[in-house]
Amino acid sequence: MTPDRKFSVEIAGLTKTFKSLNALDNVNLSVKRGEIRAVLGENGAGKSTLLKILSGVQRPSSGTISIHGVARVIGSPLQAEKLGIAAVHQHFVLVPNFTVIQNLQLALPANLRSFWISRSRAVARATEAVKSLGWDIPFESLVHDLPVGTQQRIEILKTIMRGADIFLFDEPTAVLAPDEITDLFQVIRRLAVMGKTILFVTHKLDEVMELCDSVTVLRRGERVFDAPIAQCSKSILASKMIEGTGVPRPDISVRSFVFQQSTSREPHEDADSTRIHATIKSSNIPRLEFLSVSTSGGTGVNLNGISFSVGAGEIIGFAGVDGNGQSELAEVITGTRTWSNGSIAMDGNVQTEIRPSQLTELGIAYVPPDRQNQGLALSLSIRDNLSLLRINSADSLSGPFLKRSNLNRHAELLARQFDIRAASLSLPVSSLSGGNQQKIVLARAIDQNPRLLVVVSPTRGLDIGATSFVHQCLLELKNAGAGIVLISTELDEIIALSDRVAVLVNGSIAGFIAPDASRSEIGLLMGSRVVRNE
Amino acid sequence: MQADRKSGCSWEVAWFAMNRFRSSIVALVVSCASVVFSLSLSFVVVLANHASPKLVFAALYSGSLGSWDNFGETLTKAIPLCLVGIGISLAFRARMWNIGGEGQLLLGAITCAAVGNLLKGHLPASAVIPIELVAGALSGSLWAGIAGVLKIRRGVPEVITTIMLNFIAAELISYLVHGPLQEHTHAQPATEPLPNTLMLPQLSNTSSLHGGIFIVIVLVVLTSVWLATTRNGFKLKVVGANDVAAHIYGYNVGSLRLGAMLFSGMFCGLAGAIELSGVLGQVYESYSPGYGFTGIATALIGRLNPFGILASSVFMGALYSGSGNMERDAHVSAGLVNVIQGLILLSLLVGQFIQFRNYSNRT
Repeated sequence: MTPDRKFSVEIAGLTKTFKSLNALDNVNLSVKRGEIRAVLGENGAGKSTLLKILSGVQRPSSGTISIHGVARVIGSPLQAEKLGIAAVHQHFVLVPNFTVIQNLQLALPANLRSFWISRSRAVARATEAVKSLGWDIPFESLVHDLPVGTQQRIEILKTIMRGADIFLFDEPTAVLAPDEITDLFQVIRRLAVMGKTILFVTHKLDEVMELCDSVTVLRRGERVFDAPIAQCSKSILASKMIEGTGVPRPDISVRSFVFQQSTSREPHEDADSTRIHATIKSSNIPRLEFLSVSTSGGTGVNLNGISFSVGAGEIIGFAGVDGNGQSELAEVITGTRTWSNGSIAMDGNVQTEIRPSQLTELGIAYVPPDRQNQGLALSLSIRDNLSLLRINSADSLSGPFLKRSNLNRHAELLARQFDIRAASLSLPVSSLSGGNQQKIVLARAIDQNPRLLVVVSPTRGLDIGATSFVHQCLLELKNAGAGIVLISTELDEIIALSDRVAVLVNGSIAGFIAPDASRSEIGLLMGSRVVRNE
Repeated sequence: MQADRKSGCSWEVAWFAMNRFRSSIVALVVSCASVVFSLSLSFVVVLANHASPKLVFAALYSGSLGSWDNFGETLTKAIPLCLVGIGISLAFRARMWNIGGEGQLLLGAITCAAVGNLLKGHLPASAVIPIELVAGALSGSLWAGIAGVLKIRRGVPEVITTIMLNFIAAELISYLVHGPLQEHTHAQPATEPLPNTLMLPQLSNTSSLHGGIFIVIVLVVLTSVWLATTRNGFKLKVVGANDVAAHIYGYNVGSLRLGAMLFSGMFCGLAGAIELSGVLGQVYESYSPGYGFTGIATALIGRLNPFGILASSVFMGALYSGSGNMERDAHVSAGLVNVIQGLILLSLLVGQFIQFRNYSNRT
């Protein structure tokens, strides 16, 4: 693209060893100026480690890194910044209750930063950068009032103001709505035309094919494939990513995880008895029914006249652009948010209130959207996390003491059935990959024999194998007669799993659609707020 | 390949076990290194005070560990420190920053004195002693409960309320020993001394070591067992690790925290009551030499673990009991001991920070 043939990033023999594990094993990677290079791989393939090394957060065990043809040691994030390397993280590094310009002031490069943080300099530099990208960003707004897509632009703006010319994007689309993704891709292409070098880390094949010039596939820390995009197809890339890793393919009929569960008294995998008591009822009483439920006050979006019902053995999917009432809806059902109007009935019984402590009794289980902050106690062991709800059951107690042996046996059973891979259940949950962490949250929910399961973004950040595992569990639970409320911003997931799809817009249901409706129809509904706002 | 993965797993388990062992060794080494480092800093401080370090440290040693009697004194000082330390650790485990150990301890002492004097002669001593101790513990619990309820109901930061309650407790004591609870001759600002029959039994004639040490040992074991084996102990651990998840999964975070606070105050109150009925017998205005604050350091040095706190309380007790000797023999201010205590605490915290940073870098 540019006449400059020199590589702006050149990595040779890069190895990073953690404990006994090679997170990166002799990886070579060369990226030219103006190139958009995808770094593709499943969770745990070494993508994040590569990014952390390039941005100076971690140091390699061996290997060399050359930036613009000069061998460098990137010892700290500050050095990375000086070399023009900037990372745009999946989780934003912004101060939510500062204005945009205050956030940008913090991001001024070291040479423009003195004891006094100049506002005018920040404004000048930001205006210049915004102009070159053709953006319109309200500098005086508070960051937490802005949509996620705009927040991401502020992150990008920060890196441009620091004079970065090598951009590391870490799964940047995970938090974005479809139209925001399109915008982001335009921005990345523009950056490439401006002569910037881009490393785009992802596990989404579509994005690689659509955006990138070339692709490097990592698997278990090794570079297994490297090619210009013209020589690739989605199927080639997919096979390179998962080839020989033993990850179960998305095949619903392979195994029945849920029905393999046996009671804690017979902790053998081959026991026939099933722990799911939520049998399919012939009656028409829905598992959960909302009648024009509204919320008022509180943080976030208020729900406005929501009505729907979930029957036994039904999955209702809630689609919508993030921040249109999804998490609020889940919070109302699971008792962490109160409602002000309307009525909610569980199995035909009208509830005056729902408290989190009543969920087990009501037969409701919950997989919260943020597994690390809401679903798990990261510093505690896998065993303790699997026992989080189990300790409330009568058979886990003898006198005042917990029956540790029962709890541990049950945790081991769950770990086996949900294929939670860990060297030991005494390890802290923080040591597990995202997929295995999510399996813990899911195992705990399904272990409650729920009559209603509320799941929010259950596969966010998971690889193909873990995603298909989660989907399989949900389908089996549905077949066992549970009602499932599936809230997700992944449209594919909603379409693949749901029996009915509701689209949430600004706290209301914009409409119900059959899952085989065209995407443009769903997109039209989802976009109705965006149109109204702009 | 399957077998391969299995052998890999067992190797990893072994590695993890070894690493765990290693990290506890590292913790011990860091703690010892901190003590050595701070003692050498104290060496400099002593020199700057124109005193002989040899004399100072010899006095510190002989005053705390030099004889059975002096070791008895060390243990005597360790008793309230250990109780306050465990109390503080219970609150800290639930992320409730109880800085009010001092106030809770004072309340416990004055209540113990009041109840003991009220019941003497009416009931046999074997009944009064448990009653006065329990009353002291409950009053400490109540005092901490004020801050706990304000936090749970109104979101008032417990750090601030517990500190303020310390001042209120001190003023309250001052009022009581000048007024309603003053001893009958009205000669000094102190409560009526408890009769010897209502005091905890002395364990030796030559040191002030008393029966309270058995209560401490029992409580250390009970607390440790409670934390490890009960439902609420488990829940407390989860709340400390992630209160958001605990709330979502139906744990009553508010009442668990309030409970932690009440137990915390109970231990601190009991510390005051045992100190009163074991050593002093009457409450003065300057009753506590800062046990309520040193107890926080004791809890942190013991890493919030009951047995760790037991060990660190003996160490802190040694510093307390050695200080008097230091003042007498080496002619330096006992305040120097405060300096040394501060230095040890600082270097321990720095040591823990370094260790933790290394650990998080590795993983």
